Amino acid sequence: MKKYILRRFIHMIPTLIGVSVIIFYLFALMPGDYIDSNRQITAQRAHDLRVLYGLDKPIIMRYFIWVKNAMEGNFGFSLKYLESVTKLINQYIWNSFIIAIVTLALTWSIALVIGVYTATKQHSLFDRLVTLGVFASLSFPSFFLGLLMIKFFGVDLKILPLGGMIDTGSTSTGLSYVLEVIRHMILPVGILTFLSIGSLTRYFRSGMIDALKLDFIRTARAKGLKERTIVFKHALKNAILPAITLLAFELPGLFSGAIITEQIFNWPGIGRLQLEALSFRDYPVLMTFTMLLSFLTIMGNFFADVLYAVADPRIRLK
Amino acid sequence: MKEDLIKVNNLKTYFYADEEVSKAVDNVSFRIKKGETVCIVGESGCGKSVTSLSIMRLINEPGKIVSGEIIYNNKDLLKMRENDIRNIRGNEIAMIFQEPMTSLNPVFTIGQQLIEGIMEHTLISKKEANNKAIELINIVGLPRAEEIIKSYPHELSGGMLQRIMIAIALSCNPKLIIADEPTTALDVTIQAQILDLLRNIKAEYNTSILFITHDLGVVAEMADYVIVMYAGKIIEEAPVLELFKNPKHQYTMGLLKSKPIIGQRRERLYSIKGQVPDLSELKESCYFSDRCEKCMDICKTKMPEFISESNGHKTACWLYEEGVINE
Amino acid sequence: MLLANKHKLEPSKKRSETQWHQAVQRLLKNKLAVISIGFLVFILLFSFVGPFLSPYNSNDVEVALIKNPPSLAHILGTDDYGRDVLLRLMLAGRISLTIGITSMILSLILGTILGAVSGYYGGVIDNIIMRIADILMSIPGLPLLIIVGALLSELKVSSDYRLYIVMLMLSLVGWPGLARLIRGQVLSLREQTFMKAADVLGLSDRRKIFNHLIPNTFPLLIVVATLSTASGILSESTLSFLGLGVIPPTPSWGNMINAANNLIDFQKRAWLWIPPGMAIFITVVAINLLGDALRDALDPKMKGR
Repeated sequence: MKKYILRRFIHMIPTLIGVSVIIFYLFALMPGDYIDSNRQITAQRAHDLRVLYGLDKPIIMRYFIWVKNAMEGNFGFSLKYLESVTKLINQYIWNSFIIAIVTLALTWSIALVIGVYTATKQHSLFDRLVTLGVFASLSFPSFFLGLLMIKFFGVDLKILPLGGMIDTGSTSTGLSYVLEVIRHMILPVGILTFLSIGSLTRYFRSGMIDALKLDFIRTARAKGLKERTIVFKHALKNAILPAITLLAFELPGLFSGAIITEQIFNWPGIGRLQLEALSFRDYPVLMTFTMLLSFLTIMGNFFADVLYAVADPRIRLK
Repeated sequence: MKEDLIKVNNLKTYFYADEEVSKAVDNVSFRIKKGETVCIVGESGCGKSVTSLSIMRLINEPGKIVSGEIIYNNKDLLKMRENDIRNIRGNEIAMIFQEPMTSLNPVFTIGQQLIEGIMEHTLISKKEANNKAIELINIVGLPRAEEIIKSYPHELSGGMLQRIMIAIALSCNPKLIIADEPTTALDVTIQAQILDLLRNIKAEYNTSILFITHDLGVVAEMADYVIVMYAGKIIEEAPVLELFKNPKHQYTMGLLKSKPIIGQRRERLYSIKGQVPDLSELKESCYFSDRCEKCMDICKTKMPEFISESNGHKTACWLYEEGVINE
Repeated sequence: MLLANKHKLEPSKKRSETQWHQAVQRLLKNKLAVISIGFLVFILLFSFVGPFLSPYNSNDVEVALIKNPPSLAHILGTDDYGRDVLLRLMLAGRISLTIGITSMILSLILGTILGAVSGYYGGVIDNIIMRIADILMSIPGLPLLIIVGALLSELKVSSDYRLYIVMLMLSLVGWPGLARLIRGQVLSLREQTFMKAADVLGLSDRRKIFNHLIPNTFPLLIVVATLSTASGILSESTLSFLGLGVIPPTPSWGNMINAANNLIDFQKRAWLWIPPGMAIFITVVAINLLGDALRDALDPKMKGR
């Protein structure tokens, strides 16, 4: 087992390096840089600034400088905000995180319950309705759904706020602050949950259906066990096992920020920061963040492999 | 004369797919006496497995038990409530299946799966159940019971797993064990051991056994009474010695002829010509008629009835009906 | 499956011979599938034939008619240039559907060939291709697309030319997932007896891959193709909405929804942005339903029916 984990870990490293190289080059190749976006400086000043920021060195050198700095935890300074990238990201990323984690908790609990229930009551009316809902969930463009909901709940019915994390000009603290944030979270979390619930519900449903067809379920029935025991003890454990890997894959999503949703709801999260950094060509921020996401994705993959090995006794005991 | 334990009357189990109906078990009646081993023998698809599953009411969509009675303990199993039949499963009637490698849940230990049935049907404590489990593992002839209790199914071989399945079946002292081709997936040597085990259990506990198989050799070893099925119907039944000495139905004779005898030289192995009919396209006739060497006109148009002889030998064949010319 | 299976010497009277016929029959029995197909045909006609039936021209600018609500003359009203919204919707449909389908075809070809080669040869080739796929899959999709989109704006690529680049981008992001799936299938197919038969016949590698392995992945490919189209349409609409995909004057369902960014249009002129959104939604639903039905129809081990 330990050998397996070690092997997977070593596997990760070339992928990490490859990703960092590609991302760096991608950004480096972008024509124009932050200096260019400021049209009011003279050519001489521009040149000086470039030397200052080290933007005049060849790409390969710049890559290694970046790697060296990264190893020391220095990810550069935001060209726009003039703050350290790490501090900047830290400011925004947790706003995205709370939306993501609540969405994750809601999505998984609802999808699990509905998935298991419809697997045991296939072709019932509820099952058919759920199927329709699943397809709606898979097919809605996220931004359109967001706009529709804002129009309906915010403009027409006026019961939910139109955007932002807190009411404009609010100075509440403590519990009322928390309540205010929650109120603003309802729509974005609701939409994100709706959009991700579809595929997960289908996944759990088909996992349960498959598990219920396996031979040992027949054995369990022949033993005279209660149906409840058969479904929730024997079938469920087998169906959920592969889902553990899915949980690990959600890791990057927790920190990536829903770019579109944050844009539409004006939520001060890392997704919006990304778009801003893009339009201002704030490369240090973009680079670092993209690298972070890729890193989290790769780590997620790694954890998924390890978790599965741990949970499935067939692999664990090899 | 021993008493009847189970009596199956006119059982019909059909399978529905789109617009077609497959009559997997078509009006089957038989009985199993206490302490008796009854073998149902026939080719793949003849309905023997479905019959055994029907007794346990383990038939799922798209299959359905359409009509019939299964009388056990003066009650009709087919009319019982779900809770009541559940009490009988694993408790008074137990079942073991063909594929031991997949019949146990891979994520639970052997021990956990052994005591499940015991905990469900009896009121003993978990500790006592665990002791019973160890006892059972010993009964089925496996060493190192303590280790096995903690192992997972994938760590045991097919033969060992099948013994565990038998142990599970025995756990609540059933009156009837239904064994659905328990040795088909195992090596021949292991097969012999499992059959030995089953015979010993029967001798020791006086359990009845309903043994499903396609192997006549197994029938000869295990059976007290034999039922031959074809295309969803019973076409012949008799005590085992009688069947092997005086097979009456052409199909039974064909089966016996097909078994190669070691030491005997032949140019060609005998096989019954033709194929098993499609169960959804059966017409009113003897189902075996298109493969029968002695087929007559009446065979193609009318289903023969089951005729009983004094020694308990029953056949469904026009050759033995009254008024028809015998061979 | 492919090499002739001659169990039945007489032709069956009731059922059709080939698996394709059986699959099509199964598909047509599924009511939802038939409705989806019908709807998709309608959308295709709507987008590609519709404009010819409209009395308006796409470039008619009628200042007097700017931003009119729906009326008898203009069923969906007019936009901020006085253009008929219904017509714009149809033309946008052409663009969005074309992009979705083309990017699907491109990623399908790329993914299938690379996946099949990877699975067939194994070893170093497999490692390299899968490593590249891994790396591409680790880079978050939307940010990548946004970056390339911004790049295109920077390079001031013309609006029409952009179209092709968008298609290319979408397929570059899409092929790794497909390649993995195909590779998986090829790995299991490779061990089957019919491949050994092909070996024994001395067929060339190219023949084995293209004439035997890949055709056996068609069921998987068909299902993936439909889902990939759906995802392509959604991605294009998101990019265009952000102004990074298809840009005006070329219409696309995504950039039509951009109208919602204007506060007044958002609140008071729903006919500008709700129809394109619904168009995307219903088209993608139909494609997903069809893909699901196809998966059921093509799967020999019918599940749960």
